[in-house]
Amino acid sequence: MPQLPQIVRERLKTSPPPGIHPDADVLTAFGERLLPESERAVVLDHLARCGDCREIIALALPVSEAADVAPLRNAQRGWFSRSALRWGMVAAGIVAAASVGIHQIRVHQRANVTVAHVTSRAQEQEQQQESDARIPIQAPQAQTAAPANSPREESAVKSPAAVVSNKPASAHETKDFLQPGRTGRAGSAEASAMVASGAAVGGPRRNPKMAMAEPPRDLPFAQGLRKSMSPATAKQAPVPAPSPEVPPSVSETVEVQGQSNQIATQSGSLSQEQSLQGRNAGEPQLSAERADVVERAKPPAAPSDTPTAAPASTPRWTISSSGSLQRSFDGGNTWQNVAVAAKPPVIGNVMTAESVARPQADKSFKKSRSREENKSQTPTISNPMFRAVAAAGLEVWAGGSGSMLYHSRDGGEQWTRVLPSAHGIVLTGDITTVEFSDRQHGTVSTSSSEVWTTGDGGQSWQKQ
Amino acid sequence: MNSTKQMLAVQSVVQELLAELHAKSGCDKLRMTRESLAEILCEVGAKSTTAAASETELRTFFLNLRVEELALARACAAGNNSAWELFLTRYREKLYLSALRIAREDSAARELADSLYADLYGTTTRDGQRISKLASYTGRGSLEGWLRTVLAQEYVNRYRRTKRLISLDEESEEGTQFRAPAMKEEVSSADPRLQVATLESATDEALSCLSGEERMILSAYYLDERTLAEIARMLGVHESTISRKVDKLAKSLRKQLLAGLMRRDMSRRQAEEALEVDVRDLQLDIRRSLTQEKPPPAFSEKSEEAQATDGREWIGIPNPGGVPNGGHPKTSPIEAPKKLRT
Repeated sequence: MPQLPQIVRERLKTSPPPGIHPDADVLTAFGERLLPESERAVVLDHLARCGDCREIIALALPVSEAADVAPLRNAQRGWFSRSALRWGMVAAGIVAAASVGIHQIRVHQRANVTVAHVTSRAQEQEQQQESDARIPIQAPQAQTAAPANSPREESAVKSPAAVVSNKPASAHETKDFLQPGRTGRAGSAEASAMVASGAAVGGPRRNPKMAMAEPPRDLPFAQGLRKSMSPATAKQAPVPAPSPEVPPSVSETVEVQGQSNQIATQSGSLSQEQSLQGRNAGEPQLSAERADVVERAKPPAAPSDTPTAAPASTPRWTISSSGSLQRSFDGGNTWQNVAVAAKPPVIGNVMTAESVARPQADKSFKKSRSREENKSQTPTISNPMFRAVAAAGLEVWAGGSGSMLYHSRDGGEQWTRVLPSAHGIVLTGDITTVEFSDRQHGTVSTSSSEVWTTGDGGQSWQKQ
Repeated sequence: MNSTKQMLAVQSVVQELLAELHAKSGCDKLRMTRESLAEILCEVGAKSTTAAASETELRTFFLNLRVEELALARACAAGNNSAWELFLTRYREKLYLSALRIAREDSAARELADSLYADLYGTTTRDGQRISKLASYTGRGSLEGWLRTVLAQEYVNRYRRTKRLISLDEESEEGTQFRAPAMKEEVSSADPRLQVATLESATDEALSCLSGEERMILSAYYLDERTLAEIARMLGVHESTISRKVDKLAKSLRKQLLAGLMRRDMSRRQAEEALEVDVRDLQLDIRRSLTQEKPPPAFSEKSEEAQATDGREWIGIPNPGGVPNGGHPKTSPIEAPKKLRT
């Protein structure tokens, strides 16, 4: 601070003596800045001349504010704080760049995993078909598999609980049940199913570009359909078809493909046209979609098995890389596959015969496949290919390919198939995301860009 | 006339706001009636506002009052026991801490706090009624702040009393015959005296241009030697603001002083020199010249001659062996003790 000439100090001291001192009330109000401006000026004028009152004000400063002075002094070291800020900025920049990089790498890896997984699926399917053509070696493994073709049909009809095993029976039943209002809607179920199976079987071989993406979607469905169309020959066992059955279906497939090279059935589609649109729209996005699904289902911290958010007491849920539904009761340390029993779908408002037939067939295939994978012991249970799961307490919703949506109210013990439909329109396509904000309100979106919402726990649905 | 008008205005505003203020004051807990609160509010309003205050001003005044603390203080002053209990639980510890901070020493702090308690409780009586200091609290600031201020006042009063004793001693020792006004009248033509007068008038002129706040900042910083942080807290502004203001004020004052001195027929260099000079030295010169002028009349002639030629030499005359250093008689064996004392 600049020095003040001595004369100024002297004259400041010898200012005219102040009149009456302001009382304690006024001084307090001054110190607390509560005085109106006019009064404050008067007090200031007095303080300028009266050392005693200045001292009183200074002494009466609140104790607590003494602590505030320290930070103020620190704040005055501008250069320090500024340099600290500068380094802080640099550090923040590095951290931001690093996190973006890591995120990119993760996303990339995830996409790779998805693609690899899909590819392996395709190979698996091909192998399966090849083995179909040879001999049903593994048939004995499947405990649920019926010894012969015709008996199986009967057993299926007899035991409704074994929904999984008897695809044809349930499909027909449901179709009959639904038929009254809906016959005219699309061509016969068989016709569309034939097309679907043909395209699906042929797809991976004829169109190499689609090979990676198609098999997991179409093959299960198509194969299931094929089985449902020919109940006598269909095999529920992991390695199903006896050799005589396979050649005809293949030949059919070839024909269909010859007509429509680009046609690929969307597993959830009702008609050929729809499937064409769906495929065209859906396929290119497949890997992206799946990556998306993986991301949504799993928080970024644990890329491989991250459960959906659920309280510690209730099981945590996830989808395995092979598409099976898994739950964990110990907070994610160990995971067990959950078998989803396929009961007759819960029908929304209206439902088409096709839509019922297709998912059922679809399911049957997946069941057999998953049995192979999981060695599940129960005949009535299988694991379809899931893509998304949402859990709120014991309420679990799981969705996957072929507009497959399952709901469990008891933490995964019992499952109900739900087929969202409204005003004669049913959900089509693969379910890619399932989100339930609470027990009642949920949103399901599909690979065909449909979004379905429910506000009553799945009783009724609205398409958006 | 004016006061009755003011009283009426205050009363009407109090009546208007009474419900709100009463709810805020928590009078029910203190068993204070609404009427007595209204009475207190009217008294406070009449005391603290001016007759010129408009109704909105009055309204803001009452709404800004710390009614709850006011009610508590007045209930204590009226001897309400539950109010005293509340007061002591709330403020006893704080009061002692504040006293300790002011007195900076334990026993002195206790003494200070105790004497304040006595005042607050009201040891003096008038017409058989205890007069509690709390009755003078008007709720314009916080009760806690008011208590601190009262403590500080008490402390400063004591300090002032003791200081006055010391200064009386000093005065009697030094005598009062050297007071400046007398000096000026006596010799106005002497150069140092003239210089001092010029300086003083220029300084007063410059200082008179400052606002109260600016003068207060200067006084607090340069006279009381408060820190910038303390001044900032006293004025409720940021420390850096005060820092900037002090810097600016000191510089502008210097400029104005130079300008003022130059207007008073000084060259710039002279003016700068005058500002550098310690005024106490100049005053000492005057003192010396007076002591030298009066007792030894033999020197008067010579000094007058010297005065006519050069002021500096005139100072040097009584002690030719002294150092001709611009009139600073620091080396003078006679004057040295006096200077030390001042």
